[in-house]
Amino acid sequence: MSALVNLISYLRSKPNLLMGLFTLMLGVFVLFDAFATRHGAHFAGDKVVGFWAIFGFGGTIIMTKFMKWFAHEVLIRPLDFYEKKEGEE
Amino acid sequence: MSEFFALNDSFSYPILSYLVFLPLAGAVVSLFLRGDKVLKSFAFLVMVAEALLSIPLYTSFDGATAKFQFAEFIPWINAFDINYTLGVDGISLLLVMLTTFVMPLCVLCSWKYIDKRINEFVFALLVMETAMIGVFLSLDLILFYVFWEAMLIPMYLLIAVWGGDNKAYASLKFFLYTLAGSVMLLVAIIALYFSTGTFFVPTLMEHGYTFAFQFWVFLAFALAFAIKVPMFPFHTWLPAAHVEAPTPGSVILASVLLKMGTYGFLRFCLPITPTATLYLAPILLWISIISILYGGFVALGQKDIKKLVAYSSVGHMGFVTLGIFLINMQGVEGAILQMVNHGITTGALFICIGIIYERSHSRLIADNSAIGAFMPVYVAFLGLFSLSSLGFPGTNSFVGELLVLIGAFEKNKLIGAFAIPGALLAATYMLRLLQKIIWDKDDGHGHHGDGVHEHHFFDLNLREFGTLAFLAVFVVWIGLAPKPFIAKMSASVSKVIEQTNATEASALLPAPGWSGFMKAMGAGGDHHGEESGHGDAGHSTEAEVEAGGHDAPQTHGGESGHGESSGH
Amino acid sequence: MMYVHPALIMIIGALLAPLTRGVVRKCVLVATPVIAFYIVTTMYSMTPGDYGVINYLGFELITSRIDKLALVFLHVFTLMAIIGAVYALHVEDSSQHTAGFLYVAGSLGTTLAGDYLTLFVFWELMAVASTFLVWARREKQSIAAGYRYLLMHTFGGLVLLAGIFLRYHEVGSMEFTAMLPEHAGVAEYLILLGFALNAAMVPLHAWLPDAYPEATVTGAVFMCAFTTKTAVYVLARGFAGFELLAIMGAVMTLYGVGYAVIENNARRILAYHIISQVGYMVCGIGIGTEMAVNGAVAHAYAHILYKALLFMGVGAVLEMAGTADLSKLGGLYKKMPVAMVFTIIGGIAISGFPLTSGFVSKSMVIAGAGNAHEIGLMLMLTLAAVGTFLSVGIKLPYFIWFGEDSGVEPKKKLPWNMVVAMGIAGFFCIFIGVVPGWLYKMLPFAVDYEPYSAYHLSETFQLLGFTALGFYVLRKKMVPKAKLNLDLDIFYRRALDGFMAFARNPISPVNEWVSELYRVVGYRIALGAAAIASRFDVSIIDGVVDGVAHKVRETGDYVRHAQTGKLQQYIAIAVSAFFLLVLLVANI
Repeated sequence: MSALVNLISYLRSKPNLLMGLFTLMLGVFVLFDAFATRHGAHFAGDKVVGFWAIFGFGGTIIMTKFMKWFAHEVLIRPLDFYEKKEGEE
Repeated sequence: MSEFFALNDSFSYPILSYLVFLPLAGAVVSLFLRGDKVLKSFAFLVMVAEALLSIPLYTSFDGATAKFQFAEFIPWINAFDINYTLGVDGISLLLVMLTTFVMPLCVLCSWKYIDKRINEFVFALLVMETAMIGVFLSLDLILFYVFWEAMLIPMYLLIAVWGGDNKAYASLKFFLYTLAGSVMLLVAIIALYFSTGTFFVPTLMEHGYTFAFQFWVFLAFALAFAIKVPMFPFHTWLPAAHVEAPTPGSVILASVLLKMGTYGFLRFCLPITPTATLYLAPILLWISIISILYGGFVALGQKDIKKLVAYSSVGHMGFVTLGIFLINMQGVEGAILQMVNHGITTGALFICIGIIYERSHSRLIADNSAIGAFMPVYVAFLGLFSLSSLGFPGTNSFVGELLVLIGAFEKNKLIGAFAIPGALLAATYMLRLLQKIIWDKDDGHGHHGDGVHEHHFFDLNLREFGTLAFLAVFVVWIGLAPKPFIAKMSASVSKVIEQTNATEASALLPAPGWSGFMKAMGAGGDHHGEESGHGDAGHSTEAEVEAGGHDAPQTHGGESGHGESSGH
Repeated sequence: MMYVHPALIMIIGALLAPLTRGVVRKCVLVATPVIAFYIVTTMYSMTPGDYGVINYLGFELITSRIDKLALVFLHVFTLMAIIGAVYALHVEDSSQHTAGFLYVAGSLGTTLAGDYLTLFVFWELMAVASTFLVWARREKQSIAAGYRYLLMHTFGGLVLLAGIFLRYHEVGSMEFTAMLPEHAGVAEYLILLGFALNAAMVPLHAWLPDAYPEATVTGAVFMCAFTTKTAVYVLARGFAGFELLAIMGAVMTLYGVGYAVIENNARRILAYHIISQVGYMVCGIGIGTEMAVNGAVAHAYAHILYKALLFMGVGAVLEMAGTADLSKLGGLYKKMPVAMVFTIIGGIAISGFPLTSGFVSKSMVIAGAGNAHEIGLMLMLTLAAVGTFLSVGIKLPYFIWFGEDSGVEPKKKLPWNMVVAMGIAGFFCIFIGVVPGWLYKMLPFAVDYEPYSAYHLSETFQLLGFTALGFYVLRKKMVPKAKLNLDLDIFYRRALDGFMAFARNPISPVNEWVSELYRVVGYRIALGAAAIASRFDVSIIDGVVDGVAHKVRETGDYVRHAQTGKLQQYIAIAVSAFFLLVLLVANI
């Protein structure tokens, strides 16, 4: 267990190394996709190399931005919102 | 006479008379006894003997026939054809059993609770038992009325002498409400007499009457019984009475007394005035729904435990009256079963309340909270009875409510749909009560009202345990195996439904709408004309009725509508 | 060999738990679900069919209907019961154990029920027992949340009951079988509504994120597994192929995940996430093809295990560090490495990493959608998968274990039983991923799906990797803040206030008015009739009650207020909602 902890501490102290490894990995994924055969593609997007990469990245950005905006505009309230309301009656 | 009775010679002695008068004999004997312990033990023994005496009644009862069994008939006052006659059928059997089994538990729970005037207390209890059993077994209206009234005084005393702080108010309210109802009852009885010349109930059932007559008789009966049940809006005496009554008083009140009202509906209103019943059933169904929802809703906000259970009784009895006025097999069977179930469960709940009251001397939820830590056994029982009260599957009330709901959906889906939120309400207030008693208010930690200390909340002793365990057995037994209980009543229930739905009865129904109603009542509001029966399917007995009747001078105006008015 | 209903075993265990102490109790707690699990495994050798038929009140109750669909759920339910029991071994409060086991019993009974009446009985058992799991936490907001939970579930149960009665009235049978969309009428939709509430389908979902974070640490572990998945089972049994479910399911997946992205409390994130994952199952059921239903069931199986693992891990944090709010946590990897490892295993399983159970189950649903040419649904589900990884696979672990060190110190050591329980769950998460055939064998239909295809792996790698990239880019925006997010429960909470203000005013005065009637009218008559009364009094009571008439005249104030507790508010909305429902029903 402590070996794991040490490993993590080490990695956290070397952010550039981490970033480098990560980018390398992403590149491998996209490349892999170019070679993977597609059976029974369901729709056009399936055939495009790297489609899911864009889907993942784009989806994350859009989802996060949208939810943050929506929460900020509509949803967010102070923590004691319900208690205050119920206390009033 | 005998065509109404089924021959059942299982007993060489008149078991019904014995059942009725054993407690009375015990009461007389108790006058000569001294010593609190002696008196209570004696009362307990008498009641246990009574219960044991009733067991053979149950086992020998023949569930296949709808006629009255073990009947007795002794002419009493010949001039008015008033007779001493008793008989039991499927409807009254279970109620008699309920009474005989609950009474000893009453004595048990009053052991510590009642500490003064034990003599009078024991006397009152025993007299009440006689009266209650007499009510369920009487087949003569005057006899019925005598027993009905006889029950009033001891109950009044129970509240007025041994009650809480506001006992004078509550006892008088109880007395006056019930008395008002009883007056109407007398009116109906006498009207029936003058119409048929007899007080014998089975004959009265067979007899046919005009719609108008039935209407007024039904109203009179219904008022008396509705107050007893109690139905909205005549219910307000109940919370007051329960709150001020001592525990044994509450138990009797809830377990047996309220059933006298619903019994009355089944025994008298349905078979004797079937047309009026059919006509007014929809209104009574809706009043029942209101009772269910109203009782539940108000129960939700109560801070006093007894009041909460009192209002829940209004709700539960609403289910019973709902079942009765559905006038179908499931509805009526469910209703009778619920009468028994309510007696068991609510009686048990009041005993439970009494138990913690003895410890904390307060009926407020706030003072009895968070006792789960000290009284786990008690809480287990309370939990079981609460679940039964809300109709949780596996308990007795679930069966009753299920039957009533099925019956309701058969008849009118809307009624069924409105009855269901009643179950929701029951779940909420009972579970809320349970949560507060076991844990506490909003923060789940134990607090108590001022002056109540933890060490006062000791768990159940043997007497209390025995009382509750006995009731718990029935809660589960009826819940899981209700067939034997239902089997005993089936034949009688069929008969009542048949009597009510008989073609002669429905033939007399007025045309829909106000004009149809007014016509049936005797045209244009004139109650004393001779023309009732116009346009209605004739009945041979109507001629009898028209010729022979005159109004009794003291009847309230307008329940005639037949015959010539006299001395006007 | 005699067959015993596994729910019965759980009930016995529930009753024994409070009566035993110490080691004996621990043995009971573990043995009970193990025995139940064993019984389920023996059921595999029984021929499918109806067992345990009881005649009750003229109804034929089928207590045990055994077939592949029921068995796979029973299998995972009992396995989960073992895990949950082990996790909770250290809990002293026996009421939690009793409630938990009764809750499981309810779930098992519902799954085995062949008729609606049996189903209803066990359904109610689940609702009541789980309420106690929420209340057992004994904090103010837990008590309140428990009431709301109870109310919602009882309401749902009654809607279900109404549907059952109506159906019985129309069809004449209580048998619980698959329903066809063409033949579905009001009764069937009412039953569907009752099921939908338990499945936390939007918009009837608000109770889940409301109550689950308020339950006890061990209670939540039980709760996350049973209510919703039992509902999934009954939906699979009764409503497969209803298109409404397919659409609502897809909506659920996105709705749940959306809220999970912005929530702060770890358990609430997981709770919203349940809604999302159940959405996959509901969608698969709605699509109705063999592969889709298989996928839904497989997903249910896998989900129970990894969701429980996540709740266990986060529960451990809550127990040890005292809070589950992400805004207050961070940097715990040094202090609670064991919990971290397991939570991360759960996280990657839920995200569908290769070699985990999520990879072989979730994709089957998505593939099922694709095969059925529901491209729109397929894309929605995939987007939800992105969100899943984002919120539970990255955000949750990041802000608890990594991120800024919050300085939170665990107060005690992690009990061994919690570690063991997490270990079991973690093992299965990996095992199923590595040997998917083991799970596939148990699925109701024959499986024609191979998860480890090159394309699928590639797709997954890309999705996960680039989602992580997206997180990295937005990581500052994702820092959780301590705020409350509104959800649909505001509607029922708000409406209650309005209704209460209205109801309180007419209702209690009516009650008082009726009582006043007694005083004004009845009392006058009473005075008039006092002669009769006092004659009775004097001749019979004579000295027993002193001065009754005197006291009557003195009687004081009759005013009584109908005290209203907060509960009436909640009741009122349930009742009025029901009335609205009734108006619909009335038009038949």
